[in-house]
Amino acid sequence: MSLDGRTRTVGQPDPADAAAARAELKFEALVESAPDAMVIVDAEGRIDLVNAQTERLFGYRREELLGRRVEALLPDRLRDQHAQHRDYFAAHPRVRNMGAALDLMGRRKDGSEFAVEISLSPIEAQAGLVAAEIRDVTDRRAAEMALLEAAIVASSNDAMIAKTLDGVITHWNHGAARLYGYSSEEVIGKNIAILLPPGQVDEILAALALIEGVDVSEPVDTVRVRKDGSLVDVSLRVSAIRDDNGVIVGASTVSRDITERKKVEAALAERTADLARSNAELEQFAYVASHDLQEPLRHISAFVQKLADRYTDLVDEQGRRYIGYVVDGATRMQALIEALLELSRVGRDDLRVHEVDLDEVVRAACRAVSAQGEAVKALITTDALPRISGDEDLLYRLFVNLLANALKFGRAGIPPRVEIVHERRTDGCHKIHVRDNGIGIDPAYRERAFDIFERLNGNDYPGTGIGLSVARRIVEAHAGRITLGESAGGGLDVIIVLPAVQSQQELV
Amino acid sequence: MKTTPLIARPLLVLLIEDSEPDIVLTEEAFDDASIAVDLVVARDGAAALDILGSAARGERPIPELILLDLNLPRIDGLEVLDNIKSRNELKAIPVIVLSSSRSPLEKADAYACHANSFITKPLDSEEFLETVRGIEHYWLTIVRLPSRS
Repeated sequence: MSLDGRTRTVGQPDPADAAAARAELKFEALVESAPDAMVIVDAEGRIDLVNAQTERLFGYRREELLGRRVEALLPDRLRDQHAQHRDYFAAHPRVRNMGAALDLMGRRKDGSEFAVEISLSPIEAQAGLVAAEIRDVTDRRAAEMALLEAAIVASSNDAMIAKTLDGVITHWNHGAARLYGYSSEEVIGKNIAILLPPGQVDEILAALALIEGVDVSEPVDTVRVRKDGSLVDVSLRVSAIRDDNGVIVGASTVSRDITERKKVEAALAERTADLARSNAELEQFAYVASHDLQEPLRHISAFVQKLADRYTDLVDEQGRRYIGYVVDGATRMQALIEALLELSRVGRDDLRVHEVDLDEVVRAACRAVSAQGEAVKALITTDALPRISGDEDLLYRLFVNLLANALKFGRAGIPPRVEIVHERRTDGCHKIHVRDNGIGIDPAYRERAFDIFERLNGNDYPGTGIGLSVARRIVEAHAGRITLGESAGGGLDVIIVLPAVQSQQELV
Repeated sequence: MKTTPLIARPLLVLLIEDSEPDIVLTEEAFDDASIAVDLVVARDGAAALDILGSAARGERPIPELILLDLNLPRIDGLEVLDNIKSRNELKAIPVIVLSSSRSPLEKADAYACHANSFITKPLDSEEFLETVRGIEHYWLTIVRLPSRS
């Protein structure tokens, strides 16, 4: 009751007051008799009045609620948001139904939550007061959800089948009808065995015994029989159906036709095998060709050399020049063939994987190029390098190739500086840089630099153009990657990433 | 320019090789190194086994050195090597395997069959001459073969 400045005579009720009191009593009775929980809230959001349904629904006694903020009846996570909604409603009061589309939740005194639907009405008689009618819609939401699920099941393209533990089919959706050719009328009540190929036991029921405690199995690829007797490849996922006591009483399976997938897989496997075969043949060809080419070439070299040594007096100046060309050509071809042989051998012979101390490998590689390095006054520095698993001989050849390149492609007049830098990436991979201060490789040509016999610098630098091809094959045989970048001074930065641990299987 | 041969009597060498140019190169390599050899050539594995068989039976002198090309028609070099090293009469003869391949596997195979030395062609290399001189020294100063003493 509010003080409104009107005088009151004690003992003699003001007729207006009496009318107001009657109206209020009538209002409270109305609230009390409402079938749903009713909460009257004032403009500040404080609870002014609740009915017995509210007490029952939320588990509070009404004295506990009166004067408290209405947000007490909401889950914590919704409180702030609700206060804003309430302010908005206060500014735009009108009758509203809430909860039909929104997933509104109420919170009981014991902290448990339940689905609610709320309708709000401003109370005309008392400005600022709002009546909220709250209904527990737990059952209805569940029913809606069940209907929705049923609709999803019915319309699913996947075959969904439920059966008892004895294998009696209890549910059969459209997807199942489409996949297996039986209508639901034909199969409900029949045993699931009608779908099994002759002689095959039902792995589903067997699997069910194993999924105790786990309610959904991993997908299983298997074969089923259609109504017309044809076989179909399917992928199955099994879920246990439990009764109210948690006892497994049946199983539902979702199955999918994987005929297409199987076809694609088979085609892919065949194609992969073809590729591997033709790759192997190509390598074999390169090996045999270069091996057999060596023989006659060696004879050409040997006898032309003998001609040059012993019969030089019998030919004139021009003849001697010709002989020189033959010797040069044969020598160069010899180098190319040896390079080709080396390349075809990497990956052709099996990798011999052991734990390898890269520090030692690099030290040995440095010794191998020391003569070349001293000739150009090179300086090679290196980080401490890890022990990795790999083929020691191949890794040695990798570093010899890279160091020899770094020393060869220096800038005129500048002694080569090569640094080997190691970092451990967060994924455990080893990243190794071999950086130099040489002439580098234009970004446009970096990928081509790995091509066999590619010599980006023509005849300015000696070589066969095979070094980086060999390097790449070695790194890839170790399941790693090799790329080219630019070092700070414009030189080349060869970046090698090798996996942390290498199992024999990963290595090709 | 030839130096005086180290020994008066030539070394009896069986060369098992099918390639004519390689036969010529081998002969000349011995010439160049001033090593006197009595060179018997078998042009395939079967011919080599014939010669070795009659040597084992005492029908002809046992070679003091065998140069064996691995890449032979029909019966391949490793089989010939295996045959030599499994016969008591022949297994003491040093065998130098000649190969045009630098494959480490071929080398390993050859040593697994008890080759005494493995040399990559061409044969006019220092390596070849060193090897032959070593073997020559072995035969002349350490071992005396009964059949030729």
